[in-house]
Amino acid sequence: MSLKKDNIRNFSIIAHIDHGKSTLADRIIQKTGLLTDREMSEQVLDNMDLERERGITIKSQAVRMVYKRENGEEYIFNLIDTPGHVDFTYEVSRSLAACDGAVLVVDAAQGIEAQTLANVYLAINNNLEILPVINKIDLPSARPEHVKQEIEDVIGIEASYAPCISAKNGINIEEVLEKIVQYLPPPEGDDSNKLQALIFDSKYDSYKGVIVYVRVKEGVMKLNQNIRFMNTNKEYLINEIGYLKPGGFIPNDKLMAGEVGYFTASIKNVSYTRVGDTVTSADDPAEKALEGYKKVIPMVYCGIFPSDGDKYNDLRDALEKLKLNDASLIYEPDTSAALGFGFRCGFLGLLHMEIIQERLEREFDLDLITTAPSVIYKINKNDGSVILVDNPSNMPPVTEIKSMEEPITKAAIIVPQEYLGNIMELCQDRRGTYIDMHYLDDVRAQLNYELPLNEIIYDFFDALKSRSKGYASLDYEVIGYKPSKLVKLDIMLNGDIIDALSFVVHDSKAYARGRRIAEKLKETIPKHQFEIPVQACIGGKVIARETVRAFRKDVIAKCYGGDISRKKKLLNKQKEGKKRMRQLGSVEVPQEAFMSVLKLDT
Amino acid sequence: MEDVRIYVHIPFCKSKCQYCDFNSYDNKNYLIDSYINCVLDEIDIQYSTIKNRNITSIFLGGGTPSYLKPHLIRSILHHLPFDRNTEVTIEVNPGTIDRDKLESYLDMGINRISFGVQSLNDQLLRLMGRVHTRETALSNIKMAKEVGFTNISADLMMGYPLQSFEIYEETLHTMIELDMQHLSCYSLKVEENTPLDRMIKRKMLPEPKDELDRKMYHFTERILKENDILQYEISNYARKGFECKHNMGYWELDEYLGFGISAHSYFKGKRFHNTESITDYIHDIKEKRLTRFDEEVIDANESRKEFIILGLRLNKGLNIEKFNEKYDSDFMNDYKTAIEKCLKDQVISIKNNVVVLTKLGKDFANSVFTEFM
Repeated sequence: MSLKKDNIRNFSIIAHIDHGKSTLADRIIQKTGLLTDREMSEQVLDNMDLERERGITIKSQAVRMVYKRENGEEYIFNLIDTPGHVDFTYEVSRSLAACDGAVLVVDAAQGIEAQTLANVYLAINNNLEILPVINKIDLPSARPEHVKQEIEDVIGIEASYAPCISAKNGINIEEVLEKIVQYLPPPEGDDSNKLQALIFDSKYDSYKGVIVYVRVKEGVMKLNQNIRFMNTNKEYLINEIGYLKPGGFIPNDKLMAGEVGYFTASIKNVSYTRVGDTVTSADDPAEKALEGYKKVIPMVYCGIFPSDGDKYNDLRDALEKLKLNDASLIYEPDTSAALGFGFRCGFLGLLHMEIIQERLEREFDLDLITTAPSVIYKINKNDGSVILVDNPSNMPPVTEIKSMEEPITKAAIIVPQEYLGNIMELCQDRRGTYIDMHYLDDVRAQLNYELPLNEIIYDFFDALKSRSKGYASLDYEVIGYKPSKLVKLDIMLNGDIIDALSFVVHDSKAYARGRRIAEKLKETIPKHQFEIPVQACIGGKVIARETVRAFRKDVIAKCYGGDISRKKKLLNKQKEGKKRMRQLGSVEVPQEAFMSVLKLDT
Repeated sequence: MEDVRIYVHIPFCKSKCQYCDFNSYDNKNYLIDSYINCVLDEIDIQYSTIKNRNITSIFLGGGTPSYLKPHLIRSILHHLPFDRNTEVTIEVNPGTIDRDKLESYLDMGINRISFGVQSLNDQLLRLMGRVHTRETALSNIKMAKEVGFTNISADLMMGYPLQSFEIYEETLHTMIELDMQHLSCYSLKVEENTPLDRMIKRKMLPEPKDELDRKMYHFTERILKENDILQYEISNYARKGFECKHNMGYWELDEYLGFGISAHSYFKGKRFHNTESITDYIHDIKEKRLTRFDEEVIDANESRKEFIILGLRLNKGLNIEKFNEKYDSDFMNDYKTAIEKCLKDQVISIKNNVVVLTKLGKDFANSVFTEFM
């Protein structure tokens, strides 16, 4: 069924986490009658367990729906979902580029958050029309008029006509559908032009190969057509093409200009189908690619090692599988004297890193040890050469270093005024440079800081949340490098440097952090049969020391009246604990120890 | 005829000790009669199972079995088809018996007494919440001998807060002078949610000191050996031939059936236990219902594990040939990594196809066991 372009609406829903994006998407899908209520599993769009748990959408997808107006007119809605986190800004921007409009969901009680703003600006930069929607109006603390005013003042878009809804309770959803038709524009584009289709997502399927999600901007894309990816220059033959429904596909023979859909072409790897790339006809190519394509560069690196050295191959296979679906994950083999064979992995950001770690552990049943995350430092050597280092172990000796530079971000933090002091203190503590501040309303302010990325990747999120009772929100982007006085801090256990615990820190904070780490390790390393000195050092100079006391016995004496199960339970628990330990020289270190050194503020 | 061992749990005490986390009550005397009746009923329900078995040992444990009137104990034993070769043990707390009780124990077929002495230091006994004194303990043991018991054991505790080495040393010496056949010397384990645990957490008592505990432990082994009381299990010592058959059964994977609340059984390849609630127990038994809790099937894999971790507790050690025969496998090969590590750490030694814990291994037995799990 192909309707004329005027009856198509391509849009995204943008919102802050928890403001109700997925719930509204569900309601829209329900109201358009594509699915019966029974088929409707909660939150159709977020189909990965992990996403559901975290309440965020990681991989974007799209759904095609048929909306029938009261007068019988039919409209095609293509709802394109966007990832909702700062690490995925680029992906969000490409998803938005595939739309003509956006529905902006704002929580009637919470108002605008840093992330809302960031996404709205992305949408505005992509020339999208924006339809504001005030959600959660049934909450006692809802203040819809206030929030509408805020949208007008802060974002500068008309909000008087914004539907006031409750997605959760299905209130006023029809009004949203109707206003999508009225206020969001239909697609432009000409079927007779040369093919230009924007890739906004892709995912690997073990039967079909890579499924590429596209918005056709110009021309027509057809079954059995030879196509070319303009930035990666790969050519393929389309063997399936069609529209998208929740959780599935509706094969068709073509996609016209303005339409949203998918195709497959026996593509083996998502790294050939980069988000933002342009698909054109191989036989009759467009002159140039669509604008906005960027090669994604990882920002945060860490070492990932199997707890059990024998599982190295399993870890490699698991990373390979994840990579099939995640072009922005990069990894290469790495070895650590302490942890053996593993991988150095690069991520878009902290959340991306945590997600990959969790998926490795959950979906592939691996026990992992991850090292402290690192950013890429620029090192200017005395001999005039410049090297980039993402692994503290690869730092050249101090004597060869002339100067160092670290990545700096522009960070926007939105926070209720009562916590401003706390947050400014935090930013100061994290070597932030104050830029400016403005009030969004009589309650909240937006703080702009320049913060070293190195400081954000530690426990900045946690600290931000704990110092604002959870109210502060953050958005950041890397803006460049700045010279900085950095040192490499080493940790010694029982006299041996544990390379996996080394990290780079600003000179001014080295002593405090060294001390805290020694304390933390003392807490997390269990007693051994001997005393273990825990030392923090810079270039061989010890700056902090703690001692893990020795224990002298580990034995169940009692017989417990034949309760052998109880004995076994105790031993099993101990065994489990041991499994999560890593033998570092003569010392057994639990996995938590590696993570605990990252959470020093809490 | 196949063997079986019987455990009967008597969950009543005159008063609860500070460190105790066993299922026992010091405030439910009104339930004693109906509880014992239920135990008798439970035995009846299981009677068809027991009657075809040779009962090698009976253990009346608690709680404080000696706290009960002797006729109740007698009624339990009357229900059990045992003979003069059966080892029949009763746990006795000093201060809960007299000559008549002891004589009737002997008369009803009990041939082994296990005294809960714990310590002979009155101050420490009060701290532990024990109801007896040094004097009672000593006179009760002497009385048992006079009455005619020839297999007497005592439980002692080491590593208790404020228990100095000298206090323990004196207790142990006195016990040796009493010419006991058997001693169980337990290192204190502070169990969660006991009064002792709370007191330590609130810093009302000092934490037990590992070093001191080990000093006492190593001293025990040495001094008892010099007096021909030999260690045969991590916490148990006996003169030759007086090893507790019942407890040996636990370590050697023999089958046993438990009666009464919280009583554990290992029977026909399954481990399970009775309800921990006395009211549920009485209620169920009255309706002739027996519920097995936490039933665990001990398959070959689990059995191997148990064979190792229980076998290694014994001084005679784990017999590799027996293991290989029982499980049709190759111990040295199957556990190569664990064995190599433990040998290197000097926590086990292997001689004549037998694996034993070394002195260090006994201190860190749990770490050794987990290597094999």
